[in-house]
Amino acid sequence: MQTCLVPDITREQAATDLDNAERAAARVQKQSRWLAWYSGTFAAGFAALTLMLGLVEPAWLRAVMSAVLWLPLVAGMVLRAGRRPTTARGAGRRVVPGWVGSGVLFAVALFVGVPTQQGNLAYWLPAAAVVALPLAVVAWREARR
Amino acid sequence: MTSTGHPRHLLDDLLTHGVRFSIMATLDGVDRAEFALVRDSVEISDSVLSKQVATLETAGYVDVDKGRVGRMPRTWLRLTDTGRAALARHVAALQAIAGRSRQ
Repeated sequence: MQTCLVPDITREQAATDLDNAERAAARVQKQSRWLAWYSGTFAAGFAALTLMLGLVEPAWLRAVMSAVLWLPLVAGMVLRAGRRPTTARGAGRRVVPGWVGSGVLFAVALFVGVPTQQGNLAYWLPAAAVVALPLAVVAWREARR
Repeated sequence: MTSTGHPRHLLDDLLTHGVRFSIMATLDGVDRAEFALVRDSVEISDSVLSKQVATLETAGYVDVDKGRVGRMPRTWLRLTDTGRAALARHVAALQAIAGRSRQ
């Protein structure tokens, strides 16, 4: 039966416990930073997809190239994400706005550009950068955590 | 300072065990972590981690989820709200105790 309700601990023990726990936690935290490269890769993927859909001619080649870029990218990244051993606390809350932002901007860029700006580099280049921006910001923030 | 005012009174009995404290600390900054990652980070064996996690789970400090990634079985560990609060109190007490040594 436990009789000592108040554990005794020296200052040195307390400091050692804190240091050991901090070291162990840092190792796990390091493994949780994968969302930075994950979001950055998707930001680049969104930009490349936007450029392809706006600049590549003819339409069949555009469709083939977009599928060849996007489908393996999504499949590979989803698979890799599922295999990560940990996820940073609150990651979903931080990442979702980036996905929604890039998704909405992508839709707007296509909605405006496809009917009237096909092949116009002056439109599609900035559009690709703007589409990638929300996810790029997420990647930058995750890398700095 | 009275005896009841000493920060050691805020220490959590379960977490005065260094391994259990480290396990909890590794889970604090993440949503969940795989069993193997926690084992390697705390540098203990499977059996030691299993035993300590069972103790923490019984206390309501840690949740254990079992699942699969592809065909591979996986065990995930997650800190509960109760566990997070207990860890915060314990860390504050340890910092208070350790902080006095620097004065």
